Amino acid sequence: MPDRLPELFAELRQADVPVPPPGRVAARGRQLRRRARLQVSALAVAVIAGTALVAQFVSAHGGGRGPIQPNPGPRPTSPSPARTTPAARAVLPPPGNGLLILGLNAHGQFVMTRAGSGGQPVPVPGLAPVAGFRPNIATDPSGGWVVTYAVNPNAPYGSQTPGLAMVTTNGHAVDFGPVFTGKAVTSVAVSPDGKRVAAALIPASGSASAGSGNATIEVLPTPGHHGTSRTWTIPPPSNLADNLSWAPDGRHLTYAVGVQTGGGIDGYPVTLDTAAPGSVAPGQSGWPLVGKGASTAAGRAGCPPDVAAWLGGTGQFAALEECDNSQTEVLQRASASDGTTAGPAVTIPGAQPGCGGGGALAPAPAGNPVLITYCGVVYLDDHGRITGLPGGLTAAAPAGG
Amino acid sequence: MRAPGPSFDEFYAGTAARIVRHAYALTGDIDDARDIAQETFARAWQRWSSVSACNSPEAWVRRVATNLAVSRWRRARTARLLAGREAGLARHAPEISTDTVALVAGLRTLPQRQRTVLVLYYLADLSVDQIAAELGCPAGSVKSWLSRGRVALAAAVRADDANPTSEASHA
Repeated sequence: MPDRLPELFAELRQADVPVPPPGRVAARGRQLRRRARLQVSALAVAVIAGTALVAQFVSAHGGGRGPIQPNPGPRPTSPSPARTTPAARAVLPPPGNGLLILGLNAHGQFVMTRAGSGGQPVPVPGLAPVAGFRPNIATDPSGGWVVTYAVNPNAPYGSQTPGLAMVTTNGHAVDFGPVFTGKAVTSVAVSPDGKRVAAALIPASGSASAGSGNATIEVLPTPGHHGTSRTWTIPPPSNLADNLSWAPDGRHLTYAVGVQTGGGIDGYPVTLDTAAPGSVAPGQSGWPLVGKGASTAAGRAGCPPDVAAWLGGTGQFAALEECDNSQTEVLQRASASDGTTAGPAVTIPGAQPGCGGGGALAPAPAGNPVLITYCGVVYLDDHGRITGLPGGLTAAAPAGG
Repeated sequence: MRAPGPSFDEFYAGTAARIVRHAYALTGDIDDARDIAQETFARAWQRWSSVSACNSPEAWVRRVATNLAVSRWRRARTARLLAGREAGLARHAPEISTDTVALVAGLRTLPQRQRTVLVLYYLADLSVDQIAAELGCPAGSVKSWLSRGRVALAAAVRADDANPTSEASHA
């Protein structure tokens, strides 16, 4: 039956629908413009009145400006943890005792929360949500994190250019690296030594290259470090790269690629040797793989790649997939050196009402994967069993649904 | 140097019907769709100098229409739940084929995100990456919603085919 959907939508595309008269549209536009002007005028009056009152107050109290306060940075977001859904990204900052969750609140804004004492998310300063812009986060070994932010937050919805910023633990942000005009960043990851950051890019919707450009992976030095920036182009047929994860050796980089096919999207995690020579490593004969896609759970025909994450110093990575019709997520560990699967695939029920597939995957300190679904947090122990979070690891479920 | 963009009238003539169809697919009500299109294009008219400078003005109006449709659909659903009744579909769309009415009725049974993703994928012909960028969400989520939405929509359309009078149960 899904095969009939293109035909049905094609029929809808041809449907004769009533279009509002252009004159009525213009009249409504003029009405909106008048209203906007009135609002600006009212705001100006309010500002002038407010300024006068403040001046009067300062004069009356003999006050003046005090010492200049350090810039606190962008205002903290006001997350509503109970209504935060889905978890778009989650990472474990050192020492691994608090999940850092990037989610979407009920108003369609991105918010960052850190699961703190008692598992209660608290605001993380340094990132102001911008509607229509999808930020990414990655932890830095020093305890801060790298974020992507909207260089031009006032640009039309969805057209904001992404840039990179390093945020310290006190919320101070320093931008660095290039701005990615016409691109969207799908994932960022900081190398284990903190000296390099990798970013996966795809053409942004609405840009001149939308739908035609290749996905790329950029590796560049972080602030205070020197090095050469390098770019790897993901060759067709894939136009998607996501879920970057550095190996503990700081050399290999795992990411997920997706290939859009007639029947859906196939994908698998691959590992890139960033020290390999050549500016564009992927060749005509395939991917520059150290480990190929795990051949069981990851890489099944018709299954999107979803999530891949390197599991600490275990020499393994985990890949998560949700296949069509399965209503479950399957997590498989695989050797990063040759792509062979390690241990049994773990099936994670994902069919709770209102819950989608896997939202994010983060490695726990013990090297086990922590899966963040839209409706909760799942931890897998050494035996691949779903269990409660280990001691010292607190998490607040990005509940919602 | 940037070439001058289209005039608003040209833009409206070329895209209005597509935006009405887009809103119809999202709301299931042709009257609502027409209202949404009018509001959307009025907002574009109001700030046409900046909208026309976008790389894709149509993407801009589609996003606005999507946002308006989603908020309107939520309000309408709440109102229907409070009133304990379901608005009819076919009575609003006498000119539209039964297949299309069944498709739109099926779309209305889906969660909002699945519905939006399906409409952007099939009706607006956007790729998964473009949808992810347009909605500001991960591509993996788009794939997941697309995958589930396909199955659910196919089942809904099949059920509608089998029981054409079942629309009163659509949420």
